[in-house]
Amino acid sequence: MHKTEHARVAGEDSEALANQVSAALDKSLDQVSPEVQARLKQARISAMANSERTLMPSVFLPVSGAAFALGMLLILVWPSMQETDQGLQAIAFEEQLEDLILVSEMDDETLELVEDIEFAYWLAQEMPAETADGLDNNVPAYPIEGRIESHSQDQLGVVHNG
Amino acid sequence: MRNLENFLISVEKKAFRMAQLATHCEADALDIVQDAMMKLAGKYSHKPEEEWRPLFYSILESRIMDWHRKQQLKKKIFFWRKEQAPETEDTATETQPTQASPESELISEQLGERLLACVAELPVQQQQCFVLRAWEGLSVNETAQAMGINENSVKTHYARAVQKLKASHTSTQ
Repeated sequence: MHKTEHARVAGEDSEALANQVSAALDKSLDQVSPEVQARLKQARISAMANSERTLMPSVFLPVSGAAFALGMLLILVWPSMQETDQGLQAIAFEEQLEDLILVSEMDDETLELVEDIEFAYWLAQEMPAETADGLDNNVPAYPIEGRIESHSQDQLGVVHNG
Repeated sequence: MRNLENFLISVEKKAFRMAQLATHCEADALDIVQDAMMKLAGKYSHKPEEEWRPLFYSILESRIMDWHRKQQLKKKIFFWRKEQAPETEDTATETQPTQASPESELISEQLGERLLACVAELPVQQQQCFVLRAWEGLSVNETAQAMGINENSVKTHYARAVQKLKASHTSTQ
């Protein structure tokens, strides 16, 4: 027999054998026991549940990303906010210090003058209503209804029984 | 998600048989198939559907090879132990009681069982290569990718598997 003929026959034999094995394997699938089938089904259900669990993060990814970004922003901005507060405090302190230096540099007469001016300013603020008509500051300038009634009743000598 | 479930339904029995041929153990075969399903569903479900089959068989083969490596390691560590006889609850014992079939069908059934027994006795790489090529219909390239070997090795394993099957098949006839 020719060499190529040998190869052809061998190839056909191999194919026939492969087909026979395939057929036997296909047939064996029908003979898988119900217990094994049940366990395969259970495995499949577990795998599908696993798949759904792993898909969940992709749904929450934008939300968690936004939360993370917000957190990072707070971490970055918070120290600078603290610095701003500290800066404001430093400015106020510097102003007070400048006032103190100014006061210390004044001579006695100027200091008295400043004190007088401050006293006059305070007086003007404290007694704005004490005007020329000499009315009591605690008494309102206009009458209140209840007050009028009680005054008039007292003046008329009305006695409430019970 | 429905598509993935349908895909798993379509391959689960075949995968179980392949793992059972390689391990000779029903429980281990089930574990291997479950692992393969879990990994495919957990990590590759977002991949295009046409990639699922090669990916699934690649995971399955990887698990089968891992199982064999562990067995070999066990044999080396516990060398004084007698090798346990492989579980014999394979296709022969799982055959469901059938009604009286025609003689030809009986002969072909017996022939099929003998063939499967021969396949189960092949070295694991030759066996898996043969099953993937002949039964699952994967190309040489797909088989090489699934098994993590080169195409020439696939051809060699396949040729040797066929040679051994022929030899054992004719001797049992």
